[in-house]
Amino acid sequence: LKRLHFGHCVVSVDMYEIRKGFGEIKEMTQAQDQYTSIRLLHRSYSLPDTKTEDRCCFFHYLLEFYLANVFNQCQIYSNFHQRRVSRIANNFLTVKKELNLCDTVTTCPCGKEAIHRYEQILSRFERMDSHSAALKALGELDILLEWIDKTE
Amino acid sequence: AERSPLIQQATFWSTNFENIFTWDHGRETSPGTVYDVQYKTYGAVWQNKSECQNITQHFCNLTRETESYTERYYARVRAVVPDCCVSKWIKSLRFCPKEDTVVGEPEVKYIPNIRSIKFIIQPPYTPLRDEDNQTLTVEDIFSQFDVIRYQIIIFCENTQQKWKKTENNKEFEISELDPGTEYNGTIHIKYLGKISKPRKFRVKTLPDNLWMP
Amino acid sequence: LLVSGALLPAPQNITILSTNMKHFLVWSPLTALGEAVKYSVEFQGEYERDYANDSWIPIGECTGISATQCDITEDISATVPYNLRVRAALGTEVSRWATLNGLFNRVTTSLIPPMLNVMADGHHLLVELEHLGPAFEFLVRYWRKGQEDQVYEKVVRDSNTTVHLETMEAGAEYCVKAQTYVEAINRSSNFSQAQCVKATESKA
Repeated sequence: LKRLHFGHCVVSVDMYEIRKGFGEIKEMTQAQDQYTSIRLLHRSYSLPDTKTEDRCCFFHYLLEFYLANVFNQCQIYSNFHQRRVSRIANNFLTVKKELNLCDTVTTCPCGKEAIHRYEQILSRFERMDSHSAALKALGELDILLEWIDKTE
Repeated sequence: AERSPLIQQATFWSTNFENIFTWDHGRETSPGTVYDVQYKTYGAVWQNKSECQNITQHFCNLTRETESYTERYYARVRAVVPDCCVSKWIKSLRFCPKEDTVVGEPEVKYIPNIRSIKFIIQPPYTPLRDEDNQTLTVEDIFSQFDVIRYQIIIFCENTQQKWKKTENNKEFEISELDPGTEYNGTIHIKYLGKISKPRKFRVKTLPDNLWMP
Repeated sequence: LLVSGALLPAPQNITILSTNMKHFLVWSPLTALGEAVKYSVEFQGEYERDYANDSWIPIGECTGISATQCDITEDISATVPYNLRVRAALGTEVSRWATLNGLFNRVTTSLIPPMLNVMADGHHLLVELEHLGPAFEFLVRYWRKGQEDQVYEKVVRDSNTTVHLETMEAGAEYCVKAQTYVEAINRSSNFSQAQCVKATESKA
């Protein structure tokens, strides 16, 4: 488990389960992303480089973004694919539920930077057709996992 | 005019961060066929790899172009058949050196004694250098992301016992062994939940001359 | 025999058997209808209920099977409540879905003390541990007999090879016991029985 500390709030991310699920669909998902000149999770607004006080809110936005816009927008190719997305999605939901238990007012203040960074991602996402955008975001899960890994 | 793809399996092969882009040529490759290679950082635009334009071999070293090991890259190749045609670009999968490179076997020095063997491990070097132009090893790189460990699996001919020990340091000693006995096994580097290629060893402890008749 | 027109009965007694993070869904067979009955299983995690319109996901390996059990371990892959359901099919006739009574969360799995095999290779204290999969760690405790107040601990993650615990003193007897720990559900098993072995006498 990777533990993320936001103030006195600690959130655990089961990197093993998510990586296992993603690892089994990564090649297929990334291979179908034809827009290789577009990157949603850009390194100039990465989670680890976000100001400490804005990190929790930005992370919360990212979780909700994947839960609400990505996992259920992905076109399902096979039962195999669907079950791996379910594994990832249910583990994301576990993290979000833990985050919701934190006193979000104090531990998850949403400053300008968090909102700006999230809007950058969303605007790129919305410029694409929904299926291609969801596919791209799913294919960038390894980037998000790396951000989580690097976040102290 | 576009021909059926003359290229298959365009892929990165990476060991110790040496990143080689390779491809298989199709069924009957016309004589004189040459290849052009391009690469890009994911999210950016394609660039020509100047040393790999109009080349005849089926590989291209893109180590320098893919030095940022946490970045994501693509490479692509097309075939040009003189006086005929040009194939489609055939693209690699998305490549991330840190996640996709394979760590080769470490070098190991062994110093046998009567009842122990000392192991000194040298992790593989990479083509990458630090700010002081010092060559980096795979340990230098991966230790930024995770604790690196060294696993020894040792087999004792006498007792026919095989066991594993995990060490945190590159230098360690296995003690309380039997004199004049052969031990063999493998040594791996463990990093990011993965394991390097094994270095095999076979070494014999020194005889205990004190007990010679 | 099924009277034509009558609905195929849904499977009964749907239960989960879960031990050491291996989860099986089991149910009673429709015995009266013989071997031709096929069963299909679907699951639904909390995500599917909250974000995906209450959708259900078939388990490929348990679609159209004759057996009355299904290994759902790979699909119960998060620590959230899961819904499970089974239905029967006979030819073109399909029964109603029968849903597990209550949700299943893997946090309730029963953890059993691990099997272990303690050995001495000369002066080396070795332990062989049962391989339970990547979700498991082993907390191994060992001590020298007679010095029970000084207990050593080692965490073992991958248990597919015999593990070296300690270099023993010549002729001394050492004892070992272990428990499993599953970080994903933050629970441990009870400790195993202790096993003791003796180091060979010194040759010097």
